[in-house]
Amino acid sequence: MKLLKRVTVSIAAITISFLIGFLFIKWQGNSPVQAFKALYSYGIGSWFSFASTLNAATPLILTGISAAIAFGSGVVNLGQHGQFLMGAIVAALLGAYLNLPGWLGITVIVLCGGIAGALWAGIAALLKKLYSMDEFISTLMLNFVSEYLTLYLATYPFLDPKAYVPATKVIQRSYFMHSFGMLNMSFLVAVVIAFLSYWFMRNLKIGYEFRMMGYNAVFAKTGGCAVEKNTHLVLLYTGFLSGLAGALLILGGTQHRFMKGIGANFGWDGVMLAIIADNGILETLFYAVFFGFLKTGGIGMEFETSVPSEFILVLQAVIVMIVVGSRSAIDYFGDRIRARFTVRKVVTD
Amino acid sequence: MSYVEMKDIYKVYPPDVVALRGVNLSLQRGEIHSIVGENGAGKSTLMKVLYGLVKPSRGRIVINGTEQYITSPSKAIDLGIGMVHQEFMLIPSFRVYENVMLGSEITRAGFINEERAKQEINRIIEKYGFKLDPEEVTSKLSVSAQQKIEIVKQLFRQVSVLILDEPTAVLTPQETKELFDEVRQLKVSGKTIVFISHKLDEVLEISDRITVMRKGQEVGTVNNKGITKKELAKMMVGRDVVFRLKKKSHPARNVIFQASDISVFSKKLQKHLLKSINMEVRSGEIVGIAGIEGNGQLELVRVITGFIKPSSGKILLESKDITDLSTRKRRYLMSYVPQDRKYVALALKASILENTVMTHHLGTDLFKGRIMNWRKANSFAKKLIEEFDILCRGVTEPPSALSGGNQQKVVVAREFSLNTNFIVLDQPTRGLDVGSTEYIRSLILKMRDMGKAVLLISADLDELMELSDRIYVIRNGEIVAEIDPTQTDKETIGRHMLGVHDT
Repeated sequence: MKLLKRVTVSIAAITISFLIGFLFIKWQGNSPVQAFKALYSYGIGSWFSFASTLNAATPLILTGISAAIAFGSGVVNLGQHGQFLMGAIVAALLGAYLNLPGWLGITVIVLCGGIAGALWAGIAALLKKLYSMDEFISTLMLNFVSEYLTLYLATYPFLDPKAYVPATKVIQRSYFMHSFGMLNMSFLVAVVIAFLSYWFMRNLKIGYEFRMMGYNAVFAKTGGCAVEKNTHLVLLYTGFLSGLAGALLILGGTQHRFMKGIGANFGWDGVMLAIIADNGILETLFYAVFFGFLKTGGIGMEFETSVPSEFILVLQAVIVMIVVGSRSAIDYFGDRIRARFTVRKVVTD
Repeated sequence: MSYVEMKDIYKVYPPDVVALRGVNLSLQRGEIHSIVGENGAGKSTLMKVLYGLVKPSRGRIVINGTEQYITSPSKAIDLGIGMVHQEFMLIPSFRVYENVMLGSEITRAGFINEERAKQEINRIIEKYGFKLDPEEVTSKLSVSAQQKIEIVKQLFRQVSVLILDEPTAVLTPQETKELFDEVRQLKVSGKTIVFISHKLDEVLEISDRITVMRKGQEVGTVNNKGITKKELAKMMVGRDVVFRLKKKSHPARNVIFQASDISVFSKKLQKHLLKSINMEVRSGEIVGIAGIEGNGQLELVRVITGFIKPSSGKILLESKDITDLSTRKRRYLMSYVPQDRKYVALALKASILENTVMTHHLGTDLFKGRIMNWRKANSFAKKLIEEFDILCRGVTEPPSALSGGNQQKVVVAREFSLNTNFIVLDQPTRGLDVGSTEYIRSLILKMRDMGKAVLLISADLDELMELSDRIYVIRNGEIVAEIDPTQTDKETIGRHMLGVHDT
């Protein structure tokens, strides 16, 4: 019932937004059929394009479930962006200066990147513990700190003078993550982490407490959940996930170095994904892949037709609004209809 | 003919909370009309309907002979109806006159005409004898002065019906007297005052007529002539069907719960919310706490459940000192049915299954190590549904889809199946229909007969009289009496609750 409703809402919203997109493209005097054809063939049409879609989705999956787990536990971690950058810079520096055999090095670097993200979120946890500072504001502000801290590191102490933009040295070749055909291994890591997180939120005692805090923190506390301690743990874990996203982008992406602007919009896209997915971990995974598809397909669309790739941003925004809007609309009107029946019942009593 | 007529008003808050069930109310011109009733009786909802804040599900409102649809507060003000809420809506940095005219500025050629507004405000202040300086900055004023601003604000908008929602709740006795003088002045000049309260003394002092509400219905409207506080209280509480449950008599055994000398001091209010509370609950007895709401019951429950720390005193549970333990640690030893079903006792959007697991998850029954055994939890939830006769479509349904009675059954089922010796019940049957109430009361007695120590906080005197083996009466944060319900009548307890010792 619940599942059916969610799937229906998603499919309907995506269909409607494509229709709206169709009208938009038409209105601008382009051919929607051609544009969508290009979107399809560059986004999913061949193994090559499908693999690009999945690669593009990799960081989104992790920042997305980071936000989804945090929000789903009633913890407002908005620091995905900053935690991502910390993970990325740590991975880039270790990758450039650490000497370990390939596989071991990759494992160590990826874990260290995750831990860097966790520690960065840990600052917010500490501030909450000591001064009961709201994590909403502290994680948000830490984004700015890490933005400029990492930029400083890449511009001065660790600058690669041969680069055109502020960037660190390219990491050692042996740390590049392997690709199967076109598909990079980092995607598989992200998917495994997503399923593990899903399982652990469902089945561990602490995962149960996290979820109940997300439903109703007072209820959880009254029932004996360790709400304060759990909040800190959620911050650490979701920080770890974002940091992991950053590290995987360095090792498994295309740049293999930290450079200005590498964080792009991954953090905020993750927050957006969690909202569309209503904090469901598997839904986040699905929408991350879908947004990856739009991203890669959009580039192709720009290439083939005169529809700019920015159009994809419009489409994303429309999808977000329709999914979120129709979800609450269903509840709202459902409640109103039930209220009407109750009135009838009370009046006749 | 009445000035305002509310006819057959129903209100159901979506999805299915019935707040008003066919209420009729008529207000005369130039009267002070009180509306009294317990919390949740529908007083505020009824007035919010009149003020256009709440849309009625059904019913008609006739003002001065014409039927009106009051769709918003500004429509209500156009019709001459104003309301002063419990929370004030003032801008702290504004001067008094600025707050008064905010939203209905007198303008000339598009510019605010401050002079005329000030003149008008001064005229109002003088006419009704408000002690208020229009030039003063709002944030510097006392609560009672801010309340005056709200009243002047309504008069500035030329309302003829003024609704005051529990205006005396925030006032000292002297300030209350001042307010009453002003209200009488308003009446003399032909305004209609609606006074919402549950302080019966004040109601009797000020009103011309009194409408009593109970459970979303009006019990009746009486003239304030020769009616006593006792009669009024009786109308408010009602003579519910009294079920006589059979109660086995057996002696209470060892002490399970003991509070010694518990005090809670509020720095903010500079007063004791609880003062030297001494009480005990023994195994196999139900101990009731009687008192008018807001006399320390809330704080007592919060101290016992570990949400606030007492400023002094000691709490023993099964001879273990729990005074400094967290709520989590205490929950291993106590079952607790909170007053607020929707926001404290349940996660409305989670499944019934997940709701029943709460607190049980502290134990080991439903787990393999740290891993949830959902199959076992599933059959546990199913067992509870069957045993406690919870009407639902299955364990995955969320409590939000259940009726109030069934929601409460989920809570009670969860708490009563915890294996603890001490049970705290805070208003366990509030707002429930007759059937669920009776069922839950019989369960409480069953728990007692099983040898549990039960602490029952209730606003329902009948319930306390029927279930309790002993009753403590609490007033102003102090236990003022300990009563054996078989030896005492309801009226005596009521007198202890009110602190009236005449008759």
